[in-house]
Amino acid sequence: MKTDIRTIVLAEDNSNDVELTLAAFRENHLLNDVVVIRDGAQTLDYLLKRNAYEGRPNGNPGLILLDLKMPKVDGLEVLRTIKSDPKLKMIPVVVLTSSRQEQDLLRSYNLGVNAYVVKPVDFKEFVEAVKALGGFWAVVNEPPPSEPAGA
Amino acid sequence: MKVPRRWADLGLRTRVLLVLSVPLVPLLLSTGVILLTARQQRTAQQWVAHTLEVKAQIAKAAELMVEGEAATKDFLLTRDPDALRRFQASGTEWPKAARRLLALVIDNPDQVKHGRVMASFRDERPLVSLLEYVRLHPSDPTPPAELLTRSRLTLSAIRSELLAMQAVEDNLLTTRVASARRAQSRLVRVTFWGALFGVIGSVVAAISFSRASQSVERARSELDQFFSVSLDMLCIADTDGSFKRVNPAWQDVLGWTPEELTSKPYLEFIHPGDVEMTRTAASRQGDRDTIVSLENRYRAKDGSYRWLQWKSVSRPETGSIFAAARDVTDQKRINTELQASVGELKELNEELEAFTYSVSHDLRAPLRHITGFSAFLERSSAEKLNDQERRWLSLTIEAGRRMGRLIDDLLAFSRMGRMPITRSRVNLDDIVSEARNEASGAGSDGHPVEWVVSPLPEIEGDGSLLRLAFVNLIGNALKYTRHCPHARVEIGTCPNDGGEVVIFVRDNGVGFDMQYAHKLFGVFQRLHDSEEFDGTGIGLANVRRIIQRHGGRAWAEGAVNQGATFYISLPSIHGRLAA
Repeated sequence: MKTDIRTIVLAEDNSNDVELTLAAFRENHLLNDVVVIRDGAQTLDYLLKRNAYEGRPNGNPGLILLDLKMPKVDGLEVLRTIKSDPKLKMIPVVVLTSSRQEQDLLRSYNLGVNAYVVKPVDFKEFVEAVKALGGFWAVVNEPPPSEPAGA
Repeated sequence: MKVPRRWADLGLRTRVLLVLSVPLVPLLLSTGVILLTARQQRTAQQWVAHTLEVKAQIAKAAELMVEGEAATKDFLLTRDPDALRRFQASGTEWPKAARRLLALVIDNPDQVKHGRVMASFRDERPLVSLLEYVRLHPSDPTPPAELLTRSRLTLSAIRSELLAMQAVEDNLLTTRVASARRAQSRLVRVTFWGALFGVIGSVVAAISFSRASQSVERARSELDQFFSVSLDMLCIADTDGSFKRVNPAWQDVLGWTPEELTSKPYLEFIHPGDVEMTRTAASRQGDRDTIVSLENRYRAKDGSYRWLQWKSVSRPETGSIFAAARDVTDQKRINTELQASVGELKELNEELEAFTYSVSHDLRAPLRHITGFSAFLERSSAEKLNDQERRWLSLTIEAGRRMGRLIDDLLAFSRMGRMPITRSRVNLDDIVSEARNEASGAGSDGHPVEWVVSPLPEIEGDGSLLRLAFVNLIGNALKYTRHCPHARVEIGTCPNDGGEVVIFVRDNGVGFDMQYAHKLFGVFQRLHDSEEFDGTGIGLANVRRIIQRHGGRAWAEGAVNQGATFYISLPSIHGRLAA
């Protein structure tokens, strides 16, 4: 059993989806520390602790929920950056997206994504999915040892 | 070079030579025999002549002897000086004659012996001794008797030798004349037969030659027929760059007459852009048996250009190039058009992919928001709404869910149509049992079903697509028997006349009206309303699409409330799959 549930980064550009996802988290009592970031560039800023997020507390998030279609830097680019950076690649990334297109699956897994979840249309199912996600990543899964971000 | 096995394998030249040699060889033989026989005859004649000459010479010698004898007698009697002169004359003649005689008979040892004997007697000088006596004894009128006798005996001996020689020659003459006569008649005979042979031989040779040239002519005219009738353009060209002969097809395709085509170098008919390439290819024809293939454009009489596909071979020793050309202008045009179509199709396909991706992603998001926020609304406003309003809200959410399912089904249907179909040996029994698990598990209400499943054959096809088809069929069977007290689903094969495997899935559920059977497999077509039975109406469309891609057919029979039977046919394991 974990005593500390670390930050969950939700990278999602669509405000409706953000609201729905947060509501699902709320239903499952997972709202501890969800950082919502609205585009890919800012996601990287957060992770690399730069620009606007320079002052954030140290430590990598315990989980990144990543939407694929984001403006500026899109999800796959963020994924590639995360998985190729030695400081970041340990962070579990779960792609949470509408697309079940095979090419997106292929590209994501090729880049080393940890899980790929398609957002169900039905809200009830979505809540169930978030519950399962949360249950797994926050409870069952052993997170990587925490590491101060930046050098 | 292969050893020719049959008459027909021999080249024309060889055949003609063989045929002509049949009468020629005996002709040559008989000529040889005639010449030989003539020589023999000539030789025989020569021997006869020789014998006659010897005889003449013997006679000459005898004559000289007589003259000498007579002259001596005269002188003995008359002491006439003229007689002495006569004697001396014959005396000088005699050695010459004797030498000549000896020379003539030198080949005959008998005659030589006679000659020598004669010469030795002559050396005793029978006549000269008499004359010497008279000279020495002028007063004595007559030589002594023994001298006369000796002289007479010697002369007689000489005479008998001469006679003997003559007899020998007479014998020889008889033999040689007979021999010459025989040779003569043989020559006549041989000449006659030889001439006859010659005539017959010439006749046979003439006939064979004419037959041979007839068959050559026939072969030539047979090939000529093909030359004239061929749809392709055939030609014979020389190595200097002109046509020597063209077939009628040239006029049909390009419009030029043969005279026009043979009047100019062929390069003048070729499109300027292809001249260089054609020239280079033609120069490669220098080697015998090189087959040159190329394509170039020829100008037709009306000024347009036609693409010709060529194949040519040369016989440099005769300075001829044999070539065939085919008008491929239409083919090329069709090819180009086809390429363009393929290009267009590719573009369309790519557009379709992009469209599908967009639908998949961009349509779902707002749909999710609709259902999501509606769900929030439903939860938060439960007490504030009346029954009707609550019902409307619930229907809105339901509609959203349904739209989601429709999008999913449509995407799956479209993707399935474009997927490459993998072919392998498929065990239908396994497929059916997997499909049963999947269909029974997902969203079924677990109502009791009696299953009657017969063994199914193996076929060649795409396992996952076929499983999808069976999931649909079995799922339908379960769905539409939901309200049956004794639901029964039967799966089996129908006997078929070979080449195909026909499988059926039969249920005893609500069935359908055969009047609308043709609508069953349409996309989004339903024969039951969605309140009674859930569904998007794409399941059977999927089934039909899958089965069609396997080269089979799908159809159904049913009656209202009496169940339905769905049939699918698939090519058997030895049949071919349609793409």
